[in-house]
Amino acid sequence: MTRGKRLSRHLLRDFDHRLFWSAIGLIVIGIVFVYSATVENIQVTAPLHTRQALWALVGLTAILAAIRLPLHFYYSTAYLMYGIAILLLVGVLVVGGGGAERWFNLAGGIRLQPSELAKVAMVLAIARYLSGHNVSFRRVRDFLIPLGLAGLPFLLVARQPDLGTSVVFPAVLLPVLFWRGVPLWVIFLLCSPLLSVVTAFSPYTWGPMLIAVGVVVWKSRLRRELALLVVTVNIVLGAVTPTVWDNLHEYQRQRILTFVDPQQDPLGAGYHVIQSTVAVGSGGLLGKGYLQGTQTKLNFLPAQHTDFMFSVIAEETGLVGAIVVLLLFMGVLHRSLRAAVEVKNSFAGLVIIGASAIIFTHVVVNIGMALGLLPVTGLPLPFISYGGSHLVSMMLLIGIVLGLRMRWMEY
Amino acid sequence: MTDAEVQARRWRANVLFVGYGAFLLFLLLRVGHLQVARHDVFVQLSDQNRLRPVVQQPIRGRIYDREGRIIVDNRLSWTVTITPHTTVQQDNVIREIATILDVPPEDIVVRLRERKGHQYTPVPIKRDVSFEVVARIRERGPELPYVGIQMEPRRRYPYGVLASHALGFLREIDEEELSERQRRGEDYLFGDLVGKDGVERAYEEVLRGEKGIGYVEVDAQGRTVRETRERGYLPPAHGNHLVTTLDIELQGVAESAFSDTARGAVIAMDPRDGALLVMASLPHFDPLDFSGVLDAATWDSLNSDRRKPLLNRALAGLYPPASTVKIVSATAGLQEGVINESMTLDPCVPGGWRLGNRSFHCWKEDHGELNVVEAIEQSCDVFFYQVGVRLGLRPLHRMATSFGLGQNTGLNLPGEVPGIFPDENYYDRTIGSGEWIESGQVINLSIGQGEILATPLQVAVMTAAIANWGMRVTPYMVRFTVAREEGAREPLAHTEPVPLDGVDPEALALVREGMIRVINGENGTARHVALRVPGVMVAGKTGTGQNPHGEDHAWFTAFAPVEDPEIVVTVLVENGGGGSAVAAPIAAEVLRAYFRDRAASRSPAVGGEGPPL
Repeated sequence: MTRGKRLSRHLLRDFDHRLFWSAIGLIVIGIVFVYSATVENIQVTAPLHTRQALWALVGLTAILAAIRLPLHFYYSTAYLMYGIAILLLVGVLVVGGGGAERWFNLAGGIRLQPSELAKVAMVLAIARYLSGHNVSFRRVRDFLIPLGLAGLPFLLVARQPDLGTSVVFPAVLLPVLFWRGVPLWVIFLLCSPLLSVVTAFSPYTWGPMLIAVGVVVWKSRLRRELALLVVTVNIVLGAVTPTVWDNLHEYQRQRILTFVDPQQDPLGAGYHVIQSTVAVGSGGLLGKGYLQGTQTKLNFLPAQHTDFMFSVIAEETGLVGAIVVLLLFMGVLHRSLRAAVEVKNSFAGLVIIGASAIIFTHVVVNIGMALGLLPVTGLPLPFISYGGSHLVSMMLLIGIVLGLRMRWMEY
Repeated sequence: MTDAEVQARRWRANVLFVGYGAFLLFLLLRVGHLQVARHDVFVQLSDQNRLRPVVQQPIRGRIYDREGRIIVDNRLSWTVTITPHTTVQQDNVIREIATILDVPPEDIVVRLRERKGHQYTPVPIKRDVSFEVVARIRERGPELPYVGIQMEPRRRYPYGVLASHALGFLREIDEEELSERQRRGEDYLFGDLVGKDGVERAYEEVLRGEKGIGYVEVDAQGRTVRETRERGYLPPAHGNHLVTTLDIELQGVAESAFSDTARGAVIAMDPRDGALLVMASLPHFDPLDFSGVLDAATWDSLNSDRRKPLLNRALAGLYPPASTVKIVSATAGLQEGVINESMTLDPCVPGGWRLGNRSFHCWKEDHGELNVVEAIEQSCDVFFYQVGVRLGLRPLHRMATSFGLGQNTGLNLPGEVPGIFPDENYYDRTIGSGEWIESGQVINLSIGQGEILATPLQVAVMTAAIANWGMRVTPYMVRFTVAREEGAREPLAHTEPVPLDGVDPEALALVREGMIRVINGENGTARHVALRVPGVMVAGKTGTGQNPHGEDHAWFTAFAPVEDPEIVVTVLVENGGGGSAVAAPIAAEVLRAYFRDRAASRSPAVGGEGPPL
């Protein structure tokens, strides 16, 4: 293991330039369009693009630090970091008290968002647990512990309440478990209760769902009591859901419906989504031109520099810009998967897959929201959305991936 | 790591790659769908967001008098508007703006609620605000989204309240008229000003012009960011000007001849073609009282005023025409041959004239024996009772109708009423068939009392027919329209004078002689009045209308010069008393002013080339 302060030349040989520059490209695009989204905007007083650039510099130092640290450091401190992150999440709930409970207000107007740090810590912790030799997925415990590691920050963040951010934690589990060798059918069964709830409203969707569960259980030769449990859970959930739905108050139902389909409330919750799709759609093939987006400039697009950055880019640069952004993200994901294949250490592989899963989830949820496909959750677009904690933690993830990739030969 | 393990990891990486890629590809397809397939729809939606049509108000045409003096003009004023916008809570904005404008917030809320039309159309909240108010609103701009300031042309009246009834006024269009005009496809909107009453209403289409349309770019708070021509720009077609026949200075003379509390009307008209030089109705109203908004209180107080300041007495005030109608009775008697030039009738003596077992009195019971000219000169009731009885109702009614009584004069101004000159049907209807005695009614009608009502305008037309040797004119007030751009004048057609039905010059000559002697004769009813105009001979007729509800109404109607009449002046003073004492002096002032001005060389001929513009 290399413990020296200086990076040796043979390590740098395996520095993944393409991954690094893809991320840098996204960050530059982010700064450029944060400028477009906020310049001359009377609602934003500070020069946010320069702040974002400063945060990017902080992120660069985070990358530099991350690639210097040995593999062993991450492994041995994984649980510690996880513990610190959980403490911070609890702390922000306690300190926050009533209103804004997502940030710690630090000196100089800087706000630290512990949920961003928790994403990195959770990846490390789950990777450490799953890389253990005794994990075989023959025991239910092997599922429950990773589930717990993801579930704890999920609940704490959901309590803030920041439902949007909280979904990231469980979503990371699936690719990581799959990478660790859990067969796809098991993953399907793990997801099946949720699918049952969603499909329960019509026999035409719930029927095939139950049949699929039955077939998978039968084919899998699962232990009898476990098989029975899976089937029972699915049937009960599917049967109960419509009844629960009918017994909800009208306003509760309405709240859920507008969350799922904001278009139902075009002047309220749906306003943002509609304005975002209008921004994207009116961008056309080549866009309205940099600094020329009318939806952006005239404030029809809400939260332009945070949640709806993709819409700003798509409005001003059109399909061309959208393709560039998506290709850069695909590049980041592709290079991460390549790194995961190459590293020999199974902990390192799991960390890299976890990192890719976090980035992927953010991208899909954020862009899906900007395009009116998914509910508005307030999940930022990695590297691009304005926000220091998020940018630094995403760059930290990239730094960890780069560092682990450089040490691919280490077991 | 074994080869199998490596293979397995490769496979898993590929599965994840395909999985990630599938999601991102799906997002890309959606982007493409929005940006390429549905691009046009979203461009439209985006433009709908940011582009607001802005009505380009046309500037209303000016109104000139016959000498080219501007009597109704425009100036620019600031109007404060609010653009209703459903996505934003406006309560605090409304409260704030109400404080600045000093109007109750509820009024604004009500006004925004009653607004019809497009959601983004600015609604005028207060018109003609001061510069201080504009400055305060501009200052608070960022905190007062949806509040706008529009430049709006506003009427200006260089001569103040003069001729306010004839000219009319502008008022915000009411709901009924708005829906009617919109149904006809006219471009009126809630809050538009529209001509009400007078020339403003009658010539609304000429004066108003047509709205244009432009676009402004607005931000999400509805604030205008800039004007834009990217959607085109249709300039407004400004309204055309009107040149009226009014003589605003003569109008001023007529109106100031009334005392402050007097009510009444003055008409001055060219008897040759019916051009109106003066149309005055008192008391005045101020046309500016109506052109603001939120004027419900002003409107109510004017409407409920017992003095009825909004009534144009000149064409909508009904009065018994009294002795002025004797010129019609005389003409009818002469024409039908029941009297002639030299014939005298039963003398006017104390105790009155007896018909059956009733006696009918004259206002002055010692006229003695008179011929028709003397009867007109002295306005002897007894003489005309007999003319009426000899004539009977039908010939009298026919002649009165021929002179224009009981019908609209045809002046193109709103609100004219026809008045009444009863015929047999009328009495059958109101009293009952067979229950009225013809002679009894005719006795009253022949001296202008009883069931007879006329407007001052009708009396003027009646007088003009005598002055004009039996030609009846249709009065008019607007002579030209003047196109705003080219300045080209277009004369407006007006009805030519028509001869009275079967009236001979001989009969008219006698009536004129009587009217000359009213002023110039030894016994004339208006001989005391200083009606003498240097070098001009005036003819006229007094009238004192009995009024069961109060003081008599005073009439005087005159024409001059006798040789070649070019002006008729008719004066009515409501509850004024005797015609010669109250109404005649007013007519005298108007006539003197008219001839003094003419002597000081006015434009060569009345109705000539018209004013330079």
